Amino acid sequence: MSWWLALVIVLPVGGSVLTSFARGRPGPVVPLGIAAATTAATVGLTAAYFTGGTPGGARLAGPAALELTVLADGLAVAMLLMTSVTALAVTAFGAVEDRRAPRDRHPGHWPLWFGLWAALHLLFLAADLLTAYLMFEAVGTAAAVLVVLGGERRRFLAGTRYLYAELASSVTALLGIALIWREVGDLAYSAIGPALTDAPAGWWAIGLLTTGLLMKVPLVPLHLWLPSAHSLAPSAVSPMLSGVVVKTAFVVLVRLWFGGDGEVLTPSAAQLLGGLGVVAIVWGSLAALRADGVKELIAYSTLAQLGLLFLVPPLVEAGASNAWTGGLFHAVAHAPAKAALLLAASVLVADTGRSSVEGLIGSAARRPMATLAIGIAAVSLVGLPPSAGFVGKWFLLLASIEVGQWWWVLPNAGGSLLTVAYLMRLIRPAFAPPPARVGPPPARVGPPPGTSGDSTTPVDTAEASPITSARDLRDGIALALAATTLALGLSPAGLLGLLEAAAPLGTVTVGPVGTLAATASWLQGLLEITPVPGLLETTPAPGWLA
Amino acid sequence: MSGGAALVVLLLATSLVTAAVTFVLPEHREAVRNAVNVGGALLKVLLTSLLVFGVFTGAEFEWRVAFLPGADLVLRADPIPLLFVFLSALLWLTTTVYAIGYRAGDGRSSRFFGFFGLCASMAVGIALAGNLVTFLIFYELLTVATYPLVVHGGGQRARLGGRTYVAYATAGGAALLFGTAWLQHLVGSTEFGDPATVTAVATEQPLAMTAVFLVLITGLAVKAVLVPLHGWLPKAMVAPAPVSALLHAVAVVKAGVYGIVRVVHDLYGMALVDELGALTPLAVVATVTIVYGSLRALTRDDLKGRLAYSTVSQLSYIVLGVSVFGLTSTTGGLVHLVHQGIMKVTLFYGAGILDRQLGVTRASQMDGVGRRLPLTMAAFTVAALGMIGFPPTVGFVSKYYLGMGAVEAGQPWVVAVLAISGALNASYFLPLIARAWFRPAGEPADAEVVAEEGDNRVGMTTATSDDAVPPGPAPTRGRWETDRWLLLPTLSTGASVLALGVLAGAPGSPLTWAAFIAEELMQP
Repeated sequence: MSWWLALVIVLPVGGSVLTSFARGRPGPVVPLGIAAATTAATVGLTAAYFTGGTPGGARLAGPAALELTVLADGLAVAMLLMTSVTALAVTAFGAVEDRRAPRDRHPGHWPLWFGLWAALHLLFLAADLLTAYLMFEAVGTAAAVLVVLGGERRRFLAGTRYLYAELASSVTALLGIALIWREVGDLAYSAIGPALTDAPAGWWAIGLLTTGLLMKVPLVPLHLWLPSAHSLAPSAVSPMLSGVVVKTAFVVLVRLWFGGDGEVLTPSAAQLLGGLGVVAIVWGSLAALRADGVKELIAYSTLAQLGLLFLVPPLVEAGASNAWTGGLFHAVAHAPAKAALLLAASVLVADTGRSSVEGLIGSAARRPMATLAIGIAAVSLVGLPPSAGFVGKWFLLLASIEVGQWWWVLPNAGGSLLTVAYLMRLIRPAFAPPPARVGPPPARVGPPPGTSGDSTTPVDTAEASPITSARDLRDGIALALAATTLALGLSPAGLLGLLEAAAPLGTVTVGPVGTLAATASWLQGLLEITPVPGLLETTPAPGWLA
Repeated sequence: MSGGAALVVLLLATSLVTAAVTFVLPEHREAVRNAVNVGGALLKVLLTSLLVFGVFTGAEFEWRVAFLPGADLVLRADPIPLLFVFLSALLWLTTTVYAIGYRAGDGRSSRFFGFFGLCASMAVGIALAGNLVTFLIFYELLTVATYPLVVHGGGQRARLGGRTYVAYATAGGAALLFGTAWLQHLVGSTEFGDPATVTAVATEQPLAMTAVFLVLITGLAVKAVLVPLHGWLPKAMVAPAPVSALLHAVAVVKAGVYGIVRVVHDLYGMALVDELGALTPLAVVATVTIVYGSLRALTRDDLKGRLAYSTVSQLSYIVLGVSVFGLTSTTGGLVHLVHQGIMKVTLFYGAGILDRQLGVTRASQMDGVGRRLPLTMAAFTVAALGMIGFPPTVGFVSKYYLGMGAVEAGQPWVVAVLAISGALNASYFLPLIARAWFRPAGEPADAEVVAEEGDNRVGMTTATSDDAVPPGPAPTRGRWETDRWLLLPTLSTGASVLALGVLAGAPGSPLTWAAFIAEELMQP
């Protein structure tokens, strides 16, 4: 176990070093090799977790009370898998881009990319707030610089804004962490308990830390940095930002709220967070409905999808561990779907050279594979079965019914409808006829296609459009990544097991007798695992049905 | 995997594999594509026959795999599913042949037939779903798979139609999802064919279970086009004729009605629904839909629009049969599931040939077409008479059982509804038939001349906004009045409208089948 734990961190760090010392540009093989090795290590870690049965951890450095610790529990393993699979696909995408146009890639890209990857792994594995904080700094900086690298002024501004937001949120979070250190003297998640929540300063600490992290997620209204950074980032960076990086702060938040044995969230605070989540769903969706650019639309969609995650605090607080499973499943499921959507969209948009929604016109005929990738990703983002997105929504729905908090049903189901509405803006133009012979055909200045073999020349002149329908591997990569959401949706048991193992409460399964049984088993689990009398006062009303 | 499970999976896989192969076939490999699709459809009919035979000899066909806690993925061949699978397998075969003749792909045939096959497998999945969660999966996938077919034309109108379709279907899907989750929570499972468990829960929590029923039916009513949730169907008519035939006879709208049938019969059980007091409201909604659909059909001049509203009306016969308590009416409802499919598909085949061969899309253009397309119009006429309810067509059989059932159940008002609806059906179908056979051909027929007509057809093809890919040339006639690939399916379904009506009492007919199922359902 610890071997794998070392590998998932050492490999991407080594990759970062290797690519930064490579003469000139590393070419497509080196990044791809490192990415494959890292992903293999993550799979190994997962296998070790399943065979070992217990989470493995390690002390990295530091004095006894202020040490850096990592712990590979179910949640961390799930998140590592999400990171590695998404990053592998995006790396492959970038490698194909490199092969097509080697000069377009900034030399700093790959070192930073693998640095980001390593930092993400460490952040998800972190077992204490200090490790998490340091890795937030690393992730934020690497991500912001990746946005800027090789770009023009707009990207520079967007990246800078992103960096400032990261700094502001980090400072806020650091204040909170310092207060926790003063009150408790220990920064491990497991140490967050009554000692903290009983002290008035503890509430300040939690409040500051939560605010800082909410800005990193980001949750509306702290989201202003996201749309520009995510929509202007290079096509081999933005999928990682929108798919994976946004989940980091959420994972740390749920560990903070539910990782220890203290009652960190009051019912009203949890309800408030849920309410903000609903606002995010509505706001993000409406903005996506109005957005002009494709990537802008997808960036706002990220805001809305992140909003759904915030149904977790009120529902888990009320005792529905289905909400824990569902929320985190949604978090994991969102990553490949969103990344595939961005990859496919960027390929299609690059074809026409128009970044607006009209850039997708006729894509079903031009690039069927990329269009199919968009379709599958959309199915998952909407939450239609049998995709991974469905499983998350299903459990959240069950959780709302289970604890009788019916008001969360509407944002869940309504969010799906809003998602349909804005994603249809990407799918509708796909079936329009390709823009045949509008304007002069573009000069063939594109880089020589490195791929060989699929140079099918469009023969039927009636349908021929000025846009070359040359397909390349990138379509296939986007499609493969999108297909993982279907695979995950069809056999969700493994991931569910990982997440349930890390659940803060005894697993509440939906019993045949309904609410009463669920509540009873929840109480039982609660009494066995966290014998804190104070918690019992927050026993949820079993709903008007029971 | 046992042999029974393998057969069920194989049935689903035939169309899936067909679709997958078709997707990757290059556009110009027409012969291969046609062979694969017809072969797949034939194989499916064969497998279905095997399944039917197996079930009647008492074999069990179930495939089950763990999916979510408390909700497996289940495909199971029960009697009601068999009825639907058989219908869909047969009509799929005819519609595939018809689509080949119709050249529905318009230069994008691989995509068209790919999604066509995908729909076929989704319909099988819907039919065989052994619990509500599995049903939901295929139900939602059907929406996804049909969207590209609805917007296949690519024009502005097609995409608007597709948009309306998706909006309605996803909203209905969301309601169904919510109802399913709620049921899962209350009962702990959503298995079909186990009304006892549901009844036990319902006696404890009648209010909640009634609410779940309401939510489920509302979700299903969108696809089943119950008024007032029917608005999408007439707009989705922009799709090519084979797609319309498919949407109206077996796939989308049928999935909705079939869902209602299964929720009432296999999930809740009719006795429970009756006890919860939900049958009468359902009957009222069905009645309103029947009359409203017929009235709207009267006002439509465009042929496909008229047929669409006729579908709205006819589907509710099935719902009416479901919602009148009793053996005979249940039989009538179940058998109409099959009968409506056969009749409607024939009508759409006919309308498609009229459009393709003569460019006739409106009722007012149908003068004298009977002389030009005698066989097509004969099939069309038989199907239309069936819709009205003339003996000895299948339509009469359905109506007879529905009416008798209503009288037996002590609800004679249903007979009045059937009579009114029959009169309305007659008043929008008979003029078409009369025009086709007894009026002199007013307009120059044949597609070559149609282009000169200053009618909507021209506007459609020349205006940049509409029908982006103009329909191909009129099919080659050969020795027949139209392409054989078009004529053959039309004639065979038209003939079965008559044959199944005449032979309704014969063993193995849909009627005896439905009666058998109804008897099983009614046993306490």
